[in-house]
Amino acid sequence: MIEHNRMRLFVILALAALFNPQHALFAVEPVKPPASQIEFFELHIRPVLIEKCADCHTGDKDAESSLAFNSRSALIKGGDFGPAITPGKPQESLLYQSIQRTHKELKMPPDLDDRLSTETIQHFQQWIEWGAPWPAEKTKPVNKSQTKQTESLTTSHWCFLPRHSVTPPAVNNQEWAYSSIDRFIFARLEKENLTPAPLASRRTLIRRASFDLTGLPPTPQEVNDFLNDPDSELHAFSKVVDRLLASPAYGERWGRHWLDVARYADTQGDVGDFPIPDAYLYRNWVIDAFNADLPYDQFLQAQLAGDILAAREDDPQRARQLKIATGFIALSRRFGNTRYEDQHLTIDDTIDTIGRGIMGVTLKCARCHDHKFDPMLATDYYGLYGIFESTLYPTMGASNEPSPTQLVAAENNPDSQQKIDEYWELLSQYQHQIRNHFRPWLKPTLEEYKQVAAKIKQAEKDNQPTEKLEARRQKLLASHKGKFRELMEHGLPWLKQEKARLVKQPPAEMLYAVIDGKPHHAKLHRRGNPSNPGDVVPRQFINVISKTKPDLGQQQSGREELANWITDPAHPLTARVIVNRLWYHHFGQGLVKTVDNLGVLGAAPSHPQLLDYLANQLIEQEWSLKALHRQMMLNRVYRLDSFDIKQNSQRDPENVFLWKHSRQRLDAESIRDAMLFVSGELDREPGGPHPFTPWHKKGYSLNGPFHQVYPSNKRSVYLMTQRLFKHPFLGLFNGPETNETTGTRKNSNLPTQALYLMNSPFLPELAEALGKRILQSNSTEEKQIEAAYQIVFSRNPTPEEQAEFIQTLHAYRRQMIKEHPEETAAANQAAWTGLSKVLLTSNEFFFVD
Amino acid sequence: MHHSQHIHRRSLLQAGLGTTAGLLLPSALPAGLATPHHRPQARHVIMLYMSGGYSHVDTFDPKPELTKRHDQSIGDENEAAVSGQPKIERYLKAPLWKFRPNRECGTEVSDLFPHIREQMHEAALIRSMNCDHRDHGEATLQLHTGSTTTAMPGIGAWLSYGLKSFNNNLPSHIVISEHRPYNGPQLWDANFLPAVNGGVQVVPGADPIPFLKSPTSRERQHLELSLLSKMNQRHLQQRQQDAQLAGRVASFTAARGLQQQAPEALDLTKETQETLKSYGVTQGDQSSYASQCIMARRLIERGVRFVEIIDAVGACRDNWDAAHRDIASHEKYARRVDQPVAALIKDLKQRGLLEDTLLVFCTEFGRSPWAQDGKGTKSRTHHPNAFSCWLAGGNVRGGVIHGETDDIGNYVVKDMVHVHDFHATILSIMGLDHEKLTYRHAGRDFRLTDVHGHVVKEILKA
Repeated sequence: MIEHNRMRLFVILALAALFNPQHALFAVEPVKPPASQIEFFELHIRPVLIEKCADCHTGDKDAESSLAFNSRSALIKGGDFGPAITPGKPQESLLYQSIQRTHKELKMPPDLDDRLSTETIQHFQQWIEWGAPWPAEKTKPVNKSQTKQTESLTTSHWCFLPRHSVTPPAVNNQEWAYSSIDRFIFARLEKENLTPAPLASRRTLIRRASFDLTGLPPTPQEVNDFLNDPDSELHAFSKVVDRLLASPAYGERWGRHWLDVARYADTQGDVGDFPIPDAYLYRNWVIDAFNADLPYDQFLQAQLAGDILAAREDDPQRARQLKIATGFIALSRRFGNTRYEDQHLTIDDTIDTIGRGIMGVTLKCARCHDHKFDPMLATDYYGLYGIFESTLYPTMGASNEPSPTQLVAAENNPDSQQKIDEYWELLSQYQHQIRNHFRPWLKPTLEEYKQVAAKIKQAEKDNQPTEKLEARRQKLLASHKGKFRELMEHGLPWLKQEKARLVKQPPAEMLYAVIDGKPHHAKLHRRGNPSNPGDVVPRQFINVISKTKPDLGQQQSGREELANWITDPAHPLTARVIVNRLWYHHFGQGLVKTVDNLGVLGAAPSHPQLLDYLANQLIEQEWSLKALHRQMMLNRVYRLDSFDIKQNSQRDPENVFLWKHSRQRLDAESIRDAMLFVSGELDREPGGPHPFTPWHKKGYSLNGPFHQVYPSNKRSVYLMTQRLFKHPFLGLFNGPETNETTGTRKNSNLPTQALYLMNSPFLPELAEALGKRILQSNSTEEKQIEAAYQIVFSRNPTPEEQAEFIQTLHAYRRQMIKEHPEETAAANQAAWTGLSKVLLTSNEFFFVD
Repeated sequence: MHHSQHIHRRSLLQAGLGTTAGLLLPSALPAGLATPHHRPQARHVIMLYMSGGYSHVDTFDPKPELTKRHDQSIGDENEAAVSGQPKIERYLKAPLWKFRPNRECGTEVSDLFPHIREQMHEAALIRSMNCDHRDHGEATLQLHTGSTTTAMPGIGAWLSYGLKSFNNNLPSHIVISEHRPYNGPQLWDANFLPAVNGGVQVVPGADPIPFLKSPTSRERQHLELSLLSKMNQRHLQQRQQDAQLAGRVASFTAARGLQQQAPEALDLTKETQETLKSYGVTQGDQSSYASQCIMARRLIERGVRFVEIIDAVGACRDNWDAAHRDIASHEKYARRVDQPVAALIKDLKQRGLLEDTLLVFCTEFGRSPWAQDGKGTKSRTHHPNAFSCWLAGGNVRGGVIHGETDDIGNYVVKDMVHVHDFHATILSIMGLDHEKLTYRHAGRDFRLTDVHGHVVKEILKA
């Protein structure tokens, strides 16, 4: 049967070669077709091409499609999807498939109402079968030199242009003349005719600053200290700010902001969502870097090229930390069920995270085509792509290959890296054999091997020659690409033992980090499709920003050069983007509202000069973020109260010009952390690794993906976050998006959140602890209520609130006794639990003025 | 249309919308388009997703050639098999079930679905479905979100975003899924759309929606919520009725609505014996597929926009997947859904809800016309090149067949309907233009259909 088919196929091919003008030779110089066929073309084909196709398929440089319909050779050359016609083979011709509407993406003409009649479709079939005869062509066949040259772009869009050197404007108001930021803000307010709000109370201010810098409310003691500080307003406040910036909670709060940008997760995102046990090292590195006020340029350099910098670092601890920092790249999202499946999308995630996260531009849009709005070309994208295609990404495995590879040696010794690579290679081989030993397609080989081995033994015993048998044995060992050698030679129990032994003896400490692979340039993917490669694109950065191309050879991937380019003080984007991110978190909206996109489709800056001024300041202050925080907080505009002023809000409802402070709902982490904190239940110890099952004990797949919630009373930044499943609390309250870089949180108020607060067991647990804490603090009810308001809201209750609270407390107690007459002693505690829950779920607790 | 508007008003009144609508403030309301792009053909969708990929050649796409050429080879596979194992030679495999025509329209359906067959005159059957991936996870993600790779908002979230809910006490987007499906909650996640459009999972049984029940007595919860309300109101007044604060107050009102209405919406005890019997629900049953179908009807009656029922677990051991598994297992899954789905069509029709409600019966891909593990074996492998889905109600043309596969059901030969086209068609029926339903995210406008999609106009009533 197979023989027969093969024979038939051969005949068909031979005939095709003889009679079909599809041979390359014919494509360029078609034989002169019979006049009747030309007549057919002029009658049935050309009019349709002109009427239905040529409007879009013009062959012009700026046409929507690169496919031209003006010559036979243009159709054979085709467009982005490949040749439009294969002469002689209508079924294989895209043009025929698309008019028949059986192609996945191409259905032509696009509008269904324009579809060609069955008769016309038959004409096309006939015409292509004849070899697509066309009258003698005057147009020259298109050749490669005519294809699009790399364009040189220019732009007038502000974010790509160098920063201005800016002097703060003079203002005619003493209160607003103290700080440079205030001068920019006030000048604009005056121009817009908006009256600024008065200063917020100290109580409001300390609550605002504490949540802002640490994600936690102030303690009653801290509030008191500030209220009683006899120093001037600004000076007293600067002491608060300095105390908060020095607290380890600062790094936990602001590290979390960066982890949003870095789309941090403890899992890979593939179909099994494999856990990454060492991801926490990167998380903690980020937190520590914020606490240590690591200059932002060094912070970025470590994340982009820490492994390369580590090679020049003598101190082993520092070298290790630099390698850990590349988790920023290593944590790129994974896909599918084999290792490195759709690696182009993993690299896309890296480029997107660098694009939007660090530079505030949607580089990602240039994956499939030149950017439609911003001056970035597909060649910019693939220039960067080559850098990351030259980088080795680690993996913890995939559902079909559940063991790690390409983990990075923590120490600088090149031998260790080699040993690590060999180690995983061996484990991977053993693992493969253990997982596949029972496959039906392997059985015949295994059985034959057993027989041959037995025969050899027998022959040796009988003193018979074994050469032939031995040759056969070797052949069997080499079969299936030699991937089952050990299984045949030693058997399954040996493999399992060896695996167990190796697992216990890792050769060196390994990190989930990146290192350079074999540096090379990548090919452009036409329409973003890796199986449709275009020209090789030299590794480079964004052309419109710097015309000089880096000289990247076979020695380096280019990540270090990229890191240096990005952190060059002259780079127009980097400093502006981070300044804007800080501003967003302090004021509730960025100076550019679209914090991840400063490009043409992003919002225009509300205070362009201030943005440049602060970016310049950041660089002058040696990229210190803490200095920037102080600058943004120790002024007048940060300290304004958040009450509405009707005349203002009618004209500027979104408070773009900052005539007041914008009231904010707490983000997911702050809600949880603040609830734990005021209840006295928050575990302030930094988080370590998560209790994952070791890789060799459990694999994951589409059918059984990893899914865990590890309970903990530590701060939310230390909770295990997955890519496939959201954390039950953080997910519900608009917590981090772990699948792509994000700079903003959408704090929506959902009924399901309210339901959780009303009915989940989490609240009563905390409320009980809070109730006990309050009961223990004081002996009288009045004092207890005061303590409750102090702890939860940082203020005293008003007499009206006192009365209302006591009344409900008593009613609650009576109700408890009615429900449980035997438990009168517990009634007061239960009432306090109930009312503590009210405090913890109130708007005053959820919002910062 | 007149009739359905009447029905609609009635369901809204039942839902108690008249009493709560005025209380809700902007930030608690779904942020969506106020009006559809064109006159909608339907107002609600019930999506019946069959998990694992049912075989088109054993269900809705009869291929007598397969019986004739049973055990004949068509050569080696030309694509890498799912798990990267060696290519096998493909021997055609006859369907295990007989095909018979629907009496009214003649559409042939196999004996796996005798009840559904009787309703095919209400349905437009598409025999030319096609998707981009041969693995469950990716194909299921695509069927829901259009994307095989990066998680995107699903069709339920897009519809909710575009159309909002009719009932502020119930979510606009509900997914009844007893088990964890492939890709878990990514199928109904709002992703970058406003969070209110995300699906709420209902797990049929004792505790259908998490945190629906108060941990304390009603009286105590009332005390807590009254104090909360007083405190929030005072806080709000002191802050000039700030809309964000008011939105959060409203979310508590809506949560109490949900707490009251959801149990009632999912409670089948008020259904007549006759109705229960027609679906095949036995006394006290609150979790079978049949009872889920009644729940879906009750939810859309109360104004929910989009209800999806996911029939089985997202794991190949116990769903329609018949890769390396006897295709005869289809019997079990078909029996579970056949009568209930047919009863749902009849029930909706009888209540005058069918023309307002689009039923979508679908799966992530088809099954190979050949045996997966060699000559004479019992399994069929994944087959993204061709499969069958159908739409019913929602003013689609009943009894029509759209598209065609070749004589063994391997490739589509006429009128291919890619998943993007399928999505464009569903949106169009709901009054939305898939090219206009966009959301600005990450620097560009996103669509459910990305840059693809053609509405299959042939199956729509003119």
